[in-house]
Amino acid sequence: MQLTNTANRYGLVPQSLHWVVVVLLIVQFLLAEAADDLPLGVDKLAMLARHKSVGLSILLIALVRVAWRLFDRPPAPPPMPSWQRLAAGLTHWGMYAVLFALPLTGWMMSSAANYPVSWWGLIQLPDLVVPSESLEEILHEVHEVLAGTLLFLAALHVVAALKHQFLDRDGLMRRMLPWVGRE
Amino acid sequence: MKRFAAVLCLALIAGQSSVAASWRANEKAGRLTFEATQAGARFTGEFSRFVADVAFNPSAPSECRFDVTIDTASAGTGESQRDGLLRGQDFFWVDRYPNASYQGSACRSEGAGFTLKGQLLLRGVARPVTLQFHFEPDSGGGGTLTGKAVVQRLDFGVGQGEWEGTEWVGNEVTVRFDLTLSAAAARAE
Repeated sequence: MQLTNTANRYGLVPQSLHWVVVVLLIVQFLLAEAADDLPLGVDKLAMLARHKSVGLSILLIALVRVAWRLFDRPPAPPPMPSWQRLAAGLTHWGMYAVLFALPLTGWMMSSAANYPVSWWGLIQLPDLVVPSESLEEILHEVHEVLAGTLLFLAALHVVAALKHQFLDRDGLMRRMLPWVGRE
Repeated sequence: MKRFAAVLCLALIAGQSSVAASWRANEKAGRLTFEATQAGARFTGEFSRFVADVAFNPSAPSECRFDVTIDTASAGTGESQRDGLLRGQDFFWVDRYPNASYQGSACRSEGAGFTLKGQLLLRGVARPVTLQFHFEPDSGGGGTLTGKAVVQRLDFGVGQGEWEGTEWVGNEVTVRFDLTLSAAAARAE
């Protein structure tokens, strides 16, 4: 498998980044849910610190993915009605937008709560806003709505991919699978 | 007799300059902040109520006296859950220890500034803590006192139980102060 995209398959780099983000997003939802239920304590601090570090990693990967996409054109999808193509495009770019907005609102939220963000305790990031509890509450809401939006878009994305794979049988999903078939 | 009086006057005036000027300053005259770390990231909090009695003369630092009382319940970090935690038994335990204090005398000139080795009484534990500070005199006989002290919170039992760990909340806390000792805050000796 080659690193860059081919005419009918994503390359190893875009595929790896895609699947790594899938795993990290699942970790993110689990960490956020677990931390939400905890009282302020060491465990909560630890989970939120990891949630922030993973979130920053996702932000970094999102940047790389967008840059990669601009310079390495994705493989053409199989023929499909234009409304499907449009829906797929909107879903993809919607997910990219949320992949930026989620970590950024999380980072802002941490700044507003005066819990500055570090990446795995190695680098401390600058605060994006000055501490304010009312702003933190708003950003918290926005962050959760964005998380819900991402879940919705991801569900749409998965259902569409499965539809192409199992109903249309057009081989669309194979473009993003590292182990199915040779070209 | 006249000459004697004049000499006495001069002696008094001359003597005065070696007597440390004295001030009482509180939160209206400056800031008392602290920097701690959580998850490897530094954050700042502030004590919004304190009283500092300071006697200091930069040309006679050894005669200095610092007597500072800090209202531990005034600790604020901009996040009410954490502030509540700080006031609780695991941290400052403000119900039992409403005040922290710092007392010291005999400052030493060091480099461009001064140091003072005094005693910090915090959460019922007294231990030596060294201040490093600068004094910037103003034209009215006062000046600005700026400095810091590094404190290991666990030396004073600030952080009990699970908070005794330092993986997620660092042990080291830097306390900073910035006090304007103006004529208005001057006290008679």
